[in-house]
Parts: sequence; C-alpha cells; structure tokens
Amino acid sequence: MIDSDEYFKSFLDEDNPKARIMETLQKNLSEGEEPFHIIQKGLIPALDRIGDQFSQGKLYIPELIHSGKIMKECLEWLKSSFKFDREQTLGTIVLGTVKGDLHDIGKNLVGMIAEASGFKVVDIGIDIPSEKFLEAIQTYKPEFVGLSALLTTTMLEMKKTVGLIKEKDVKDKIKVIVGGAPVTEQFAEKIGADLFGKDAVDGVMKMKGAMGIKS
Amino acid sequence: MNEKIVKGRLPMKLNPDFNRVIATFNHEEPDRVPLGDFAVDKEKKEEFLGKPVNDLQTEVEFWYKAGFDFVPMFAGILEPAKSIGKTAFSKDEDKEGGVREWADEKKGLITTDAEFERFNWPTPEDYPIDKYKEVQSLLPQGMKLCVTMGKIYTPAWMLMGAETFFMAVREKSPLVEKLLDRIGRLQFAIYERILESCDVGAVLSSDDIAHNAGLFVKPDFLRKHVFPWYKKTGDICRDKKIPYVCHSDGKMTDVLDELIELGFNGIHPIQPNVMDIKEIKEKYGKKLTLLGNINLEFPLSLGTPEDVREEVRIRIKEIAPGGGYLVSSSNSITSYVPIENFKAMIEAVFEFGNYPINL
Repeated sequence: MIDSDEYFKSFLDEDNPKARIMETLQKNLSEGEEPFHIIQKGLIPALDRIGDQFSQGKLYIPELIHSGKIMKECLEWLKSSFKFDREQTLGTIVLGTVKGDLHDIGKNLVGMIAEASGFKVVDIGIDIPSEKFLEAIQTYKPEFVGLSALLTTTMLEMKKTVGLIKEKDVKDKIKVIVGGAPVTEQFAEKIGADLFGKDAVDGVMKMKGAMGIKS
Repeated sequence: MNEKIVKGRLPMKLNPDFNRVIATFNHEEPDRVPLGDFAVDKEKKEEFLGKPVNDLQTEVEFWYKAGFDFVPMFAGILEPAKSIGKTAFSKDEDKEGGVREWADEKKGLITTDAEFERFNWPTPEDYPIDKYKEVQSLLPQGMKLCVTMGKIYTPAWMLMGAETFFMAVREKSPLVEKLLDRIGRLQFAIYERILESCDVGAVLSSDDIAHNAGLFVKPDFLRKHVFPWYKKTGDICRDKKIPYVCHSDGKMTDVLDELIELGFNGIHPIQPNVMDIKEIKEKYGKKLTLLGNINLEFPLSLGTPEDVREEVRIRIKEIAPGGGYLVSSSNSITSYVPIENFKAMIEAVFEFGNYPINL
C-alpha cells in the first residue's frame, strides 16, 4: 500500500533518507503498485507536506533542498527503470532572475520543487533582460513564466518584463508568476502578474492551483 | 558650517547625544527618538554630503550631519567578498552604477577539507584597531563609536556557497562545524580586542539567520554552532553595560526568547512584511529595544518623501512612547533609496520624535 506518511518520514530521516525512500519505493513496486501511482499518491504528497511545513517555518532550507534533490533522483530512477514519462502531466515553466539581479537561490528552489512536482522546468538563468524572456517563450511555449528578484531596483525591471510579456501574449495563454524577498502580493497585482509566490513552495502550489490541481 | 538652518529641515541644528540612545535602551523617554540605522551605502553618504567619503573624517561628518548620535563601524569578516577575496563572488549593478558584491550562491571557496586547509585564513592581526581609535578621536561632542560585529553564520555559508552549505548542514558534514568554529574563533578574537581597547557605545551583531518564512536552518544547529559565539560577545556587552543588538533580515520571531537569553537587548531591522513590530513590543515590553521597521521597499525606495514622513510618524506614534524605539530602515539605506526619502526619514524623526510623544 502506498503510504505518503512513510515517504514524508523517509525524506526527513536523520541518517539515510535516500536509502529509506528507495526501500519504500522497492516495497511498493514489489506489491505491484504502478510507478505513476507511487509518484502521485506517495512522493508528491510527501514533498507537498515538506513544502507546507517549510512555508510555516517548521522545516528549514537544508531539509527542503535535500528532499528536492532526493525526489529528483527518485523520479529519474523511476523514469529510467520503467521507461516512464510523466512530463505531459503538468506544464512547462520558464524561470529566470530579472536583469540587474544575480540571485539564484530562490529561483533554483522554485525550479527544484516545480520539477519534483512534475513540471518541465526551463531555467534561463540570472540577469535576464526582458527580450530573453520573450525569446524563451517563443522557443519553449510555456504555460508559466516565473520571474525572480531580490533587489528593490530589480523589482522595477520585473514590472517592465511582465508588461512586455503581457503585451505580446494577446491570447492570454501564459501565466506570469513573480517572487523574491522584497516582492509582495500587492506589488505582483500592481504590475499585472497573474500569480505571486511568497516563497518557492507557495509559488509551485499557486501554479498547480492555476492548473486546477489540488495539493 | 554656514548652511542656513530651517527648523525641522536638513541641514538642521544638531545636538548629538549618545545618552539619548542609552535612555531609549533603558526604556526611558529621552528628549527625542534616536535614529538607528547602522549601514548607509557609500553612494548615499556622498550624495547627502555632496562630496566623496573616502576617509574617516568625512565618514564621521556624514553620521553627524545626518542627525545620528553614533558613528557605526564594521569589524572583522563581514562579507568574505570584501575582506577575503573576490574569486567566487559576483556583482550586481544597481541603477545608479554602483557595484554590489554578492557571494557565490552555489559553490564557494571552501567545499572540501583540502580547500579548508589551503585557504589563506586571515588572523586577528589582519584587522587592526587603529581606525576605531581614529574615529573615536574625531567624534563630535556627545557622539559615540558603535561597532557592527558578530557575523558567524553568514561568512560560513558565503565561504561554502549557499547550496553547498545547506546540503552539508543536512548531511551533518564535519566541515561545516569546522568552518563555523574557525570563523567563530577568528571573529571573537577580533571583537574582544576592539571591545577591550576602544570605548564602544553599543554593539550590533549582524548575522542573517532568517528568511521571510523563518530560520534558514534548524534552531538546534544555531544553538550548537552559532549562538555560543553570540553569547560570548553578549557577556562582554553585559559586563560593560552597553547595548547589544541582534540584526537579522527575515523572520526571527521563533528565537527571540533565546536571543534575549544570549544577552541581546535590542533587535534590528524588524522587516515589516514578516514581523509585526506592535506584537513584538506588546509581548517583550522592556526586554527588547526595537530598531527599524521603516520599509525599505515602500516607502523608502519606491514612495515619496511624504509617504516616508507618514510612515515615520505612525511608527513613532505607535512604538516610541515609553522609549525602546530607534527609527531605522527595515534593512539599510541602500544606494537606490532616493536621497529626498532618506532626508525625509531624518526630518520626520526630528519633527515627530520629540518626547512626550503627542501625535
């Protein structure tokens, strides 16, 4: 039986979380569970719970980063072992830190959690001018574009980029999500962004919510 | 100084008096609410003074003319980018062309035992105390020297690179412990020497241990590897009866009780989007003096001088009665804060901060 609580506890195992998760995975597979169901009913709810506790300040960045890394490894192992592709399950997100800002951590956390949750993530990097975001939209046809900023000055660059994306996206197909330490929900709304993530986990939850997926 | 003095407008009649700060920390009402920022970007100081700030005399002149009762000075390793080497560090350029240095966020300079051993570690003697003594000799009547020290956690992650550091913490790598111990010993040796040799008015321990949702790492980790160093400096401050202020960005609410036990009697900068200054004042009363909370994003960076004036007025009205509050930005005065807004903050303190508060 797939028990998300067991996966949750395994992610947070003090000694060897990876080994404990692999053991649970193997057990579920030997019971005849489908890899897709293990991901949907076991791994993803467990990671969502870790994210939720992180947002509440009950879990910390080392646990979040580490869990994201293990999740990614598990997904890769399941994919390679069972020729299993789940990329079609959720959408594509183009992620970048706006021009003038070289901060990586928040954006990378979003990428890690989004990927672990089943999104296809295209990380176009840091210090990205608005034209590069537009080019990436042309190339990857994403459902979401995520913009990150840490400095107050680059929040203004964020405004410019959101404006340009919205101007080009006449059919309103793309949802723009913004985040970063100084960014607030009011600011996100003011600059015309569709979604605001108060932290990495919240950002991914909001994108899932926008796709009608309940956490 | 031949500038025309206009009541309530800069340049104004200045009467620096560090006793004002001490009274505030004693939760008494001095004549006026003091200013409490400890960091102003060089570009902003120069714009304020209208001339380069390249020596200690001009540095002191800035803090005096900006209405402060103290001159803050940094000590020890701050951002390794500035004091050790720039190999692994990147730069952000702000709008005014100033350069902002940041530590590498992935892989830093020390990620293995071999790199730890090879690293060109500074010694306490590499941080001479002459400049603190020189500042003391330059202080106008009534002003004191304050020192920003206490970075233990921040240099550790900056030296390792953030992601490497967080993974190492999760995996309980002995390298993290070794690194924190080495930094702690170095920093404390520097601090001890300054506190013994100089007449320091107050200490600001500046170490960012929190982000917007809470602490970066488990409190147990901080208790074991970081807090003991805070306490050692706190013990000296307690013996000398000088204020000891904890600065951390982000939400540090969960460990406020412990910080008080470690010897802190003030906190800064109380980020308004994640910490409720009114709740903190209500809960901790006279145990903590509060510094900060004037929002760097809005109004300081993106608002008008009138917005700034109003925010300062409200904060003074709500928090300053009974002492225990110093007006300061919710981070620092960065190069991108318009000079008119910085001036508006100072002027509002002189306009609304006179005790008894009657707003």
